[in-house]
Amino acid sequence: CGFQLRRTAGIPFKSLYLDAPGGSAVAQRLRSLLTANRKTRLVTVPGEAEALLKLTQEVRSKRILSLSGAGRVTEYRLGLTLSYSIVGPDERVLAEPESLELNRDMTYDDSQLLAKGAEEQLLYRDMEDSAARRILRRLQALGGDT
Amino acid sequence: ETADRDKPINLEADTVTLDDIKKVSVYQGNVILTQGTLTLRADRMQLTQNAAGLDKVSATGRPVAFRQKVDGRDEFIEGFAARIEFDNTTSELDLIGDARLRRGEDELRGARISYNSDSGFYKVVGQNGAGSPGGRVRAVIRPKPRGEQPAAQP
Amino acid sequence: NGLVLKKDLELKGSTVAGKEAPLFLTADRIDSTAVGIIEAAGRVEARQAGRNFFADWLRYDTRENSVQARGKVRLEQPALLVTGDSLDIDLDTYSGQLAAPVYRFVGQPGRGDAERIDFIDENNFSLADATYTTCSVEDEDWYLKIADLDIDRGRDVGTAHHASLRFLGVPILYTPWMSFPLGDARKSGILAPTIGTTERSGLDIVVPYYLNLAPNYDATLYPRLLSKRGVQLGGEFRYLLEDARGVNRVEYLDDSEAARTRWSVALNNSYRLNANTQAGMLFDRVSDDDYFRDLSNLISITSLSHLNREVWVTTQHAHWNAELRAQSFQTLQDSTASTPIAEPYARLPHARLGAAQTFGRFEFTLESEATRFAHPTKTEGTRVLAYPTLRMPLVNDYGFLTPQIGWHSTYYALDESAADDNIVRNLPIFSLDSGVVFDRPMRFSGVDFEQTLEPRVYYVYAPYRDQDDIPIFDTGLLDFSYAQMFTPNQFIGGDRINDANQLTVAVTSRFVEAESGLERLQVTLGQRYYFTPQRVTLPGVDPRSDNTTDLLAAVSGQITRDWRIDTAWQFDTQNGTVIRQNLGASYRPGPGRAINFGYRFIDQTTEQVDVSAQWPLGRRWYGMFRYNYSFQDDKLVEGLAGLEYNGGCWALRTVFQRLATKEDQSTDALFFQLELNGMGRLGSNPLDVLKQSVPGYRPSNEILPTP
Repeated sequence: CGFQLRRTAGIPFKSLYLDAPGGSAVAQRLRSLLTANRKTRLVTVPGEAEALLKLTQEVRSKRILSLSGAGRVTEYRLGLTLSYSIVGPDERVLAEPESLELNRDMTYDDSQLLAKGAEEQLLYRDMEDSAARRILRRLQALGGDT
Repeated sequence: ETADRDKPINLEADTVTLDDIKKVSVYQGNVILTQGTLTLRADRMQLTQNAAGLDKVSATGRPVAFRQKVDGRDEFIEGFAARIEFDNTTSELDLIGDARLRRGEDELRGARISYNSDSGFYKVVGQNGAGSPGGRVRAVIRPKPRGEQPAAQP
Repeated sequence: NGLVLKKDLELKGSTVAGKEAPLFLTADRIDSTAVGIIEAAGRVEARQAGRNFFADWLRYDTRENSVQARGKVRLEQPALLVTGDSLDIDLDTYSGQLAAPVYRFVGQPGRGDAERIDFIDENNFSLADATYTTCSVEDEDWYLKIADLDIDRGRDVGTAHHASLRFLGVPILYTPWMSFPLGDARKSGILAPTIGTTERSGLDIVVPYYLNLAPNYDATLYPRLLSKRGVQLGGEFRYLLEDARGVNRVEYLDDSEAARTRWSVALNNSYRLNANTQAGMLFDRVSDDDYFRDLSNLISITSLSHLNREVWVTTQHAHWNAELRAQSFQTLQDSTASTPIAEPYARLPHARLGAAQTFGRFEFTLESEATRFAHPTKTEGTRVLAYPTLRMPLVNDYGFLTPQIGWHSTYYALDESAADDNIVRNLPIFSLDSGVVFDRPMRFSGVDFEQTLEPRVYYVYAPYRDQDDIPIFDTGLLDFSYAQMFTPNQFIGGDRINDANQLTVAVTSRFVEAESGLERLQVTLGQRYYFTPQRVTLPGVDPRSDNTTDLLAAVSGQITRDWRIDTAWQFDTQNGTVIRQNLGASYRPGPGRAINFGYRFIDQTTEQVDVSAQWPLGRRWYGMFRYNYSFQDDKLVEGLAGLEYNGGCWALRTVFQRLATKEDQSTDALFFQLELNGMGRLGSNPLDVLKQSVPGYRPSNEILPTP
């Protein structure tokens, strides 16, 4: 049915500068994915990089999804939105900026406060991980297929 | 400088024509008039005399330039215009046509500037169509530091 | 000479700025009539250091460096345009007056007229008998009539004394004193009062009073009148320093209805000790359990059942991070509830150390923590656990294989109420994660896509360890989800490690737009297979009976620029029933246009449909609505209908909301709010409700009115 093993040329920049707000979890995750990828060098000075990846507006959200009869929360919808753009050193846009909107639903029971708190962090980390992988795939897609 | 008034006037020019009856003399060709610190350069200058001596000077040039030291300060006042009329008795200088007057860092431009080298007062008038657009007059004036005396004190 | 001075408002003046800058003068006539005095007449233009003066007649005193102007005077400053009859100003100190001014700010809305302007210095001037509005010039929908208006350009704040607000010609508010932001600076002065009614507290009026103490700290006082309860005093102090920030709020009420004094404290402060280390504290406490239910009508607050109190220090470094925290909770019991709410354990203290290091192909991680759990009634004790793991990720273009081995060891020291006061649990956890990516080009309705097929197999092995004697401090069962399927332990927390011999198989297919590289659609299927029956359970929970989990399926993506879908199913493959179904779609073609649809089904517990929208109803009208109906309870969970008019420099919004709060009871709320752009909001604020209930809602005055 036409499927064959993916052979991408990999990320088409030898050096990349990651411009993200301090403490951005997605940037942290992207750094480890990129170093594991070993093809693209992460530089600390924007000037030296062939491309600049800019992460902006990384916002976690938590919305009540459903209430119990007694007016207590039974479900939360956790959200992560962020937008990124990939530009060249001369600010030339290399890829159309995209804003990601991810969410995970989580049941809530206030008799398991500590466990649900830990689950919330696990789901946020899962969203940050899939956001980072999606940005990595976008970077690879820029290289086109060999 | 006011002391210039009683200084001798000397003139150089390429050619001179004198008319003793009407006491009018016309100098032509890079004419230079000096009287003390006052110098006047023009292409053509016409002087009229009266009983007391030099009465009026009418100079034309491309442009006529005049320069005089300011009293009590090592600053000069310079003027340029298509025509300059100088009245020695009232020490009134009339710059007409694209007139420009500069004293220290102040600068005035307009269709016609009348300047009294004694009192230091001037009047800049714009006439429609007389050179600068809409006959407007232009000036650049620097605020004088409080302590200093203005130059034009007779 | 043809050279025309380009009229440049933002002219930063000549090279010499400031006081000694020369004055450039243009006029029909200029003469110097007295010593150091210059008079210009006829369409006079004067320019000095970024300030332009225009007038019929102007007099400049070179010694005093002052200007008088008469006749159609116009003064252009970098941020202010003023026209008037006569102007006297000292160019050294920029102090002076201008009669009958009509003024307009540059770069931000805000204009008006006055009887006189007194320029005080470069940044400050005051207007006598003035008006102020942010409406555009020919629009007089609302304006403030002010006896004395002081404008501080330095802090961008306007302070009005004796101001009355006229809206559509009707005076609707008088205040002896108010200050307001001149740009989008922070809110200031008497904020718009909020008025509302609730059946528990009667009339509810809050008149916030803002003290803009300094650019980096401010305070707000919230005197609040509750007709059935009395006057509640609230205060909030915020600060944002170089490396410290905090929001601290206190409320106090002598409650006549409940015949007792009630108070609440909410402190939140954090400090940055150095580049990697932060510390902070959080302290929320209220005087009684029903405090929020009686005094707040925001669902997100009334549903709070545990208030957090903690002190913490955290530090992050390249390869390790650590945390020390002491945390306890105040539990708000619900007197009407049948069973009391379980109080969570306090962690006094809780220390955590995490490390990660890469050695060539190997990646080492360590998660370790030590926690003393305290509880008024349940078993107390200390738990120390460490979970080092080693993995070797093999990654290439089209796939990955990641074997991982970890050793989970835990030590419990429990008090005498426990069956056994020392428990040790050690077990290895092995996992193998692998995946491969196939792709093929395809076309769909004229667009080239790159479709991928990504099977993933995840195996976990963990031996059985008897954990029945271990108390439950902070552990619970994870919801079954795609994220949970790829974690080794289905319990979250440290007190239960599931025995595992299970295989998770999943396949994901993504449709990526070839040209832009944007992922348009993602389809995922996943299921887990258990090779051994479950033995480790939470107390009072039966082990799993069948040997496969349900099948999880999800289809989601930003299909086009405007359309987005999010759908997920959970099938019970044993008897072919749908356990859980979640259909979501949203259409957001632009700001002010959003339609969201949602259908959620959880077997035997929930079946809800949720439709919400914001849509323009005319040139300046917007309609908002939400219909969230529960088939299970056969009742409206939330109904909302709202209307908003954007008047250009003001907006009027009215929202009716019906919300189910208890089994058979729902509360109605009517919000009515007038927002004056750049000034403040009057009436009860529906914005939080709209943002929560109508995803994608945008206030109309943030949207340019449709042409």
